[in-house]
Amino acid sequence: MKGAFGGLPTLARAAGAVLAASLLLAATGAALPDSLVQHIDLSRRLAAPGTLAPFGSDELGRSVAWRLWRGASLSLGVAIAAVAFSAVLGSALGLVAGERGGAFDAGLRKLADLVLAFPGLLLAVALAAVLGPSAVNTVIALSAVGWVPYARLALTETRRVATFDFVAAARSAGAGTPRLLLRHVLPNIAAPLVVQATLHLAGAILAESALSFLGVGVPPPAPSWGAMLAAGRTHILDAPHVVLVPAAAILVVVLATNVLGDALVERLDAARRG
Amino acid sequence: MTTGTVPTRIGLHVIASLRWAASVLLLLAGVATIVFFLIHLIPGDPAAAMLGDGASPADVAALRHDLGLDLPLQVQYVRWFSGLLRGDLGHSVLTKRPVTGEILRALPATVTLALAAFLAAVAVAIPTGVLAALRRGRWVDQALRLLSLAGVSTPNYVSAPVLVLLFSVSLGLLPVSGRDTPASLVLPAATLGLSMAALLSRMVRASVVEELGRPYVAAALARGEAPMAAALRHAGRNALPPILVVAGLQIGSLLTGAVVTETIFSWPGIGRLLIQSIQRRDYPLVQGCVLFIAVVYSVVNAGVDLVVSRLDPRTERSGLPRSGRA
Repeated sequence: MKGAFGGLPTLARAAGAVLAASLLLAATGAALPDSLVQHIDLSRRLAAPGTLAPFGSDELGRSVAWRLWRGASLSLGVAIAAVAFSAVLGSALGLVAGERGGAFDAGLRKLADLVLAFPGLLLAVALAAVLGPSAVNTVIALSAVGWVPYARLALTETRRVATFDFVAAARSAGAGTPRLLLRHVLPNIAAPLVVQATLHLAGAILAESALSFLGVGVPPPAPSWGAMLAAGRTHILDAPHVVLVPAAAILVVVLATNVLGDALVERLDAARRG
Repeated sequence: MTTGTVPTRIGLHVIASLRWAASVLLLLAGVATIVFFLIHLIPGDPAAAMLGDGASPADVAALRHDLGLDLPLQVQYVRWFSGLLRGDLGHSVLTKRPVTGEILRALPATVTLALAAFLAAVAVAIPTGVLAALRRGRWVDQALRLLSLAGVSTPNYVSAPVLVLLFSVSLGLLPVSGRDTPASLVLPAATLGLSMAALLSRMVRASVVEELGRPYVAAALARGEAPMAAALRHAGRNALPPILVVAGLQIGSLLTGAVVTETIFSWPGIGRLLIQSIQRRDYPLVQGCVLFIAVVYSVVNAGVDLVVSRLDPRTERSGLPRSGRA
């Protein structure tokens, strides 16, 4: 496989650039001082976008632009953490169960079915609700649901790869199970897992926003994008920008991630067909 | 179950149905177990958490006793399950009314909303999907592709305010929230059905395109049938099962979508009941709503699997189709 983004269509490259810019905003947003992000100025309550504040002000006169920037670090940070946690947990479970087979295989599948018996966000909402609203608990709630696709994928792929000769060769050369899984099996099943992670990122951003929107995610006054949407919702009639700005931010990032993910899926399929 | 040594066709169906029922019951028991443990994940004393900071120790102890939280865990578990079998999900901490009754009162609103969204989505998805398939690669197809990508990427907490802004504020056509007139249903149903319509439309397109490429369609065309007639008469029938699977599995996302949509539009269904109970820390009611939604979802999915295996016997032996859920 040549460079990570080599050979992708222009649209996908543009999406990658948008995503990279958002990640840069997310990385720097955490360093913004509270004096900018949380500065309350009631005289500028719900002020429309203008020279003073490019995206206007919210219901407490805080700058939507600064809050959006800080929110990027929260919303994308939580989403990335959830994706990373889910990917590591799910892949590890899938690898081990795939190598062991038998009861481990069947048990993991049953567990995955059990988690999938809860539609979409329901289990995450319920978990976040009982654990209490916080960024860490949001990551836990999202990961408790998010590991399943990785586990299924890793399980299936491990079973497939395990039949190959090089695995038998490595084993007869004395490789122990951990070494076998990490050095020989994992590199050969990594591509679909990475693609899954890209697609999952879009879902995780949406899920974080939904949880914050419903009030079980990152608690106020932290400006998570979903929380900004929820707070602005009652002002949609007099100040639509407080809703439309975070909504647009979510849409742009999710759309970019989806476009990039789709392109990666297509390339993976093409590579598989040879 | 079988007559003689060779299982009959009927016997096989009975065995398959029994196995299906057993696996569904096992899954539901697992779901109920997870929901049971939810309340025990509350950090600290659940009873204290439910009553808030101002509660006296006596009140907390009374509630703990009331909910059976002072009993050993295994006794609570048995009580939870024996309650379930009798349809007893406990009482709301706040209103003291049975949880089952609260859910049943919110049910009609959710069913109305989900049904309206489902029908609207199917009504939009089938014509647009077939159109895109017949005009594959042309501008109509490209435009529909972009629209559906936007539809899938737009969460309902974003599309709802945009729709409200458009139809209630700018045009003044539809009510913003509540459930007072039939027109109140339009915006929530549109919000809830949007992403399903987008997804289903792509699915219909893919399925019809695949069938159109098959030899029997070419044969029908060679016999002089019009492409549209060939598409509907021959391809439609074979394209239907996978569409049905996706549509059926989407009922689940309608249920979770309803949680957000009902909250936004103050629609008095189970989704809003769940979020209100979370805000009020009425955890027995939270458990009830989560369990109810998950059970309906699981039963619907299992039902879809069963219907599909009847429609297309090939899927029966290779296990239940799962591709739509990953």
